[in-house]
Amino acid sequence: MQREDENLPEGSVVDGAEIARDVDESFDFVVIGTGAAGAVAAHRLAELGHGVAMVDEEPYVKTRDFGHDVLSAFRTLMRDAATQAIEGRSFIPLLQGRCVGGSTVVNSAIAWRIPDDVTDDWSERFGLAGVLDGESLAPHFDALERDLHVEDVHAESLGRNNGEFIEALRRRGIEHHPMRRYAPSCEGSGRCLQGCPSGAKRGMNVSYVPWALRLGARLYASCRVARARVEGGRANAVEATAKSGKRVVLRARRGVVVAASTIQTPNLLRRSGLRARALGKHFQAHPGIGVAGVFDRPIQMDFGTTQGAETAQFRKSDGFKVETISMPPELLAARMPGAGTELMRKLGEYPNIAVWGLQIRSEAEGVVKTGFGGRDKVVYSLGERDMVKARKALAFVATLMLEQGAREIWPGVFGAPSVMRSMDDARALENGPADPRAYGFIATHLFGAARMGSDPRATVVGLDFQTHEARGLYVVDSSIFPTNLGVNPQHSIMAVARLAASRIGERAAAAA
Amino acid sequence: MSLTNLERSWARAALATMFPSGADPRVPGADAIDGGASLDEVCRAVPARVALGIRAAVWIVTLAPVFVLFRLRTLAGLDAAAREKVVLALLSSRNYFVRQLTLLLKAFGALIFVAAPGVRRSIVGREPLVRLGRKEGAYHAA
Repeated sequence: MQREDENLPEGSVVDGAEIARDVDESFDFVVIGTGAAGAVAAHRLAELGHGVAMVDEEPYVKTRDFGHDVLSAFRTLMRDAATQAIEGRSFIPLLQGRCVGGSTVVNSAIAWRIPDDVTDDWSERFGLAGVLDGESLAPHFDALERDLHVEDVHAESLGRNNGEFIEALRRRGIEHHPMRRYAPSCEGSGRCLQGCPSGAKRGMNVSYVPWALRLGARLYASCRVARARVEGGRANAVEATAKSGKRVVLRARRGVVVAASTIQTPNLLRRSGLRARALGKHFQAHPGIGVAGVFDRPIQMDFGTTQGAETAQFRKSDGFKVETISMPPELLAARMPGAGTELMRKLGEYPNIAVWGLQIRSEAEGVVKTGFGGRDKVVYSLGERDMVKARKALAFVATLMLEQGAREIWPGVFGAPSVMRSMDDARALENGPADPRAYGFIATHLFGAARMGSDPRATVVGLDFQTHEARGLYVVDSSIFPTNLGVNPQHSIMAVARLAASRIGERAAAAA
Repeated sequence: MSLTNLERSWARAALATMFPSGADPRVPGADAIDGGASLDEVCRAVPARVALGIRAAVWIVTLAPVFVLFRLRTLAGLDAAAREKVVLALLSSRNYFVRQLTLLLKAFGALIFVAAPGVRRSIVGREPLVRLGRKEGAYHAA
């Protein structure tokens, strides 16, 4: 079977590493970023008949080139080789994809629609009724789900890590379900985080990016955007530097669409001359933790959908969501307690280990800044209420694992026993340390920092997706989300981008 | 940023302590790889501030016997049991930065170590299923 990222139209992908002379080209729209937001927006604009250029600072890594091990995946697919971290009271690793397709290449392709309570809140507090509400977004969710064949994880690719989790929740009478994902022919390789080796996961690299190219769009890969050029209060071009060192100017007759992600968008807007007071503020995330448990029966995390089952029963009541996360041995080894003889014995148990995780809907807000040397810097610390949620969730997962028959669990909390075998110990995690430095949080879901709203003093982007300060400069990624969601955000990011691109593209067509 | 020859040899000793051979028959040790050279490659691939952190971690682990055991030795100059004691002490240090830097070294050590030929297969207990081109049921039936 031919993969979507092969046999692309001649000349549709321009590799910045091979650009031999300065480039100066014109399009209707230039889209910055090719992740969940950028790829969908570019495709939608192309579908509406506009001439579109996509530009990404990273290369287009094809499915055939994905490596088997995590280290090579980190080096080729993740930003800063997966060493980015949020700085605050504690360091929180921040995982972002760094390739054409962005984080959709290295995430689990989970499809959650924005919950109603979130859009209701956005309507009430941020005046987004009719802009980003359930009714407006529904047709876009429908279209995405059709395009990408969103389905529940199939029983045959579920694997035992997910299966044990479902069984544990069933026993307790807790709501649970297989994940809905964009991976209709998932083979259960357990390698979502390293780049799907079969192309079954419909990341943007094998869906909307090639689809946009087949509609006539052009991709400039390995071209780092310096800024959107704003002249006379209007964005009219994107200036970038190709990996080869050549200058790339992509003129935008109708607009520049920014979809560089919550972390990169605010600094790109700053480099483009925007000075809104709210720029970089209100950053939010869903910090998560994994708990490992050793069973007396095989779990074999190397087979099965990486993240295949979840419960959202506690999302509203307690502010957390619980899900599975199968870890390859190298990632698990870093999280296992100890070192030396003890660590190697634990690694030997790998076939019998399960990992389940939690993510909290944190209330804390951070700031995205420009750090030393122009790097993107995020300052963010979990608050007291966030820690209450995290500890409660941790105790829940720990007790669930023991109930399901884990002989021991490794909660990974500094100051608590590194190995727990009793329910009392597991329950006590609810009263564990309040200091976030005692926990191994990871942040993957990122929001805010260029919030949408009608008030230019409190927000960056207006209700028409245009920045308050520059006409023709649109932002369509999760940086415009006024709050976090409490559920995995890729689907919502894509739907918002599709809605935005539809409105932007239709308006531009009508004005032409 | 790359490691000096001395730092590479220290890194090799640190990783061999964290992932020793002979501890479990199911898992080969880091002796099978040149941890120093691999860590040097990592340092060249990551941003300078991270490479600096890895470098600091190598120094901390190497010189820790002085502060942990009050012995004027580097990590490599200790016997296996004492080495392990030192690394465990650093991983459970009350100092957050010491703990995190040692964890950073352990994390990259794990990535390097498991990526070595044959190690993953020993740990997982079988070849990657996708490489075999069949699903789990078929694998077990084969």
